Amino acid sequence: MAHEKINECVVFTNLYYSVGDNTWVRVNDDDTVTIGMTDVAQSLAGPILHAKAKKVGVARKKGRPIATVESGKWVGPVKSPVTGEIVAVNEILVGDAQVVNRSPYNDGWIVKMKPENMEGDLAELLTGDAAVEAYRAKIENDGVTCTHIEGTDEYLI
Amino acid sequence: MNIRLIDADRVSYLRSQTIYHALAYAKKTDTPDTIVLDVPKDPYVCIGFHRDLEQEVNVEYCSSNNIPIIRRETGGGTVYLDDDQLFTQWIFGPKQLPVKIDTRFQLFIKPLVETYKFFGINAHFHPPNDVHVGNKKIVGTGAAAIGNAEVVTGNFLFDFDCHTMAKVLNLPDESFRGNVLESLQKYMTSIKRELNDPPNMEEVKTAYINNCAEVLNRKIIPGDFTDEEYRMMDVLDKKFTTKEWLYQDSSKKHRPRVVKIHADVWLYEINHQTGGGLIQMSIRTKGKRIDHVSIKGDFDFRPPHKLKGLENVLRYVELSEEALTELIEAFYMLHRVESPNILIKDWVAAILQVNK
Repeated sequence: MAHEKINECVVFTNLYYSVGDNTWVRVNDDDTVTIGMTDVAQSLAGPILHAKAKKVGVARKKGRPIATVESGKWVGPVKSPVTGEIVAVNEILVGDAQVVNRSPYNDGWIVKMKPENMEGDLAELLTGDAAVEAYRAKIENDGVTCTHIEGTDEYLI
Repeated sequence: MNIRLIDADRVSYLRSQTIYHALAYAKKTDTPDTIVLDVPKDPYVCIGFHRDLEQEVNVEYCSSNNIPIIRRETGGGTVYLDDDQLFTQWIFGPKQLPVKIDTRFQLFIKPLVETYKFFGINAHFHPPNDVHVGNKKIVGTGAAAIGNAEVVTGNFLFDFDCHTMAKVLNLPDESFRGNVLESLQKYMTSIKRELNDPPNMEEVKTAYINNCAEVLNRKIIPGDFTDEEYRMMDVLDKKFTTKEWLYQDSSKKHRPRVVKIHADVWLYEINHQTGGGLIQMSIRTKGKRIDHVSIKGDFDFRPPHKLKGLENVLRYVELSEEALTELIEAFYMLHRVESPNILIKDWVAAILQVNK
């Protein structure tokens, strides 16, 4: 899969991003989307100890929390990049929250949602080269260098 | 923009938590960054956002001793808090603090360290987010993104009640509780323990605010809460005292086996079944080495008094398979010890559970 690496941070060009909230969106075949934290987000947070997603069936507006994560002594929300209903949560997170660090774009996904207005929400997110450039500016501006813990997916290293 | 200082002074246990949460939730883009200072009038137990109440806290003890329990939205473990602690709470806009959490903690901790130093305590930043005096912890911190704000919290420990702290934790047995108490006494300190003539809280507050102004290079102006912030406090007072909030839902029903004393010092209670019986160990680690170990169980160890010797030789050994194997093998050979159906590798496997 095509991706760019900026200061060791991987950005996939086929995903949609809410750059401000550091989340990604993958469009699935069944009118749902998969949502997760970006490589930048997992690096800034550090090794994640707890990740707790909202329950299936919960409706969330864009910008509202769909999960909370705790790393070291910092707790923060994962904000929804779309408005819709949570249709699945990643059960792996309950027993192994660090899967978010090791595999932020694959096994470490957070929730799947059914957006009310997929087209409208995606239009407000960035993808492809625009996403790469936005992340390049953000990473350079914030002085971020991504770090990867043992067992991380190969494409991130 | 100037920073608003709110010295809330002595507040209820509930408000010592809900004030900073309320300020974070009520924060708008034009709300100034705020530093809150407060002291809880009554002692209480506070658990981290994701922690399991019954797994962490001796709820029965707290209930029978009228010690309230509250769940906060910041991270970390269980702490016992009382009026010997001055809380420092920063409620800032996200852009006013470093993006990197490590750097954010360094910034937050600097005025704490400078203030301790001002009063003659040789405190230093201990990464990632503690303040130590020598190898003892004197400040714990926490952080969270709440509402539209980034929150960082810490404290000045004027005194620390190790005995009650050890009692409020839910632990496997009294022996382990004894180990927790000993470790807290050994690895925690306070202003009272460090100074013969400690400053009062007002003196510490003044020095701390001066140091904050210098570190942040911003003016800090006394202010008060807004009506909206008071309203949010009332809302959160109600929410934080509901059973649903306190207990949350939890799938983890096993009892705790790990207690963090500080970033380098941890206590583990280990049960390891072997062909020769159950090995039960209480292990304190410091860095990557064993700091203390006690062993019991229903296994046969000959001669029995040599078990104490094994405990002694395991102190300071590195927590690696190679180092442990070499040392335990040497001990068995030198002392002609026998433990039917318990092999060297069983001891090593039991001890290395701490790495999991």
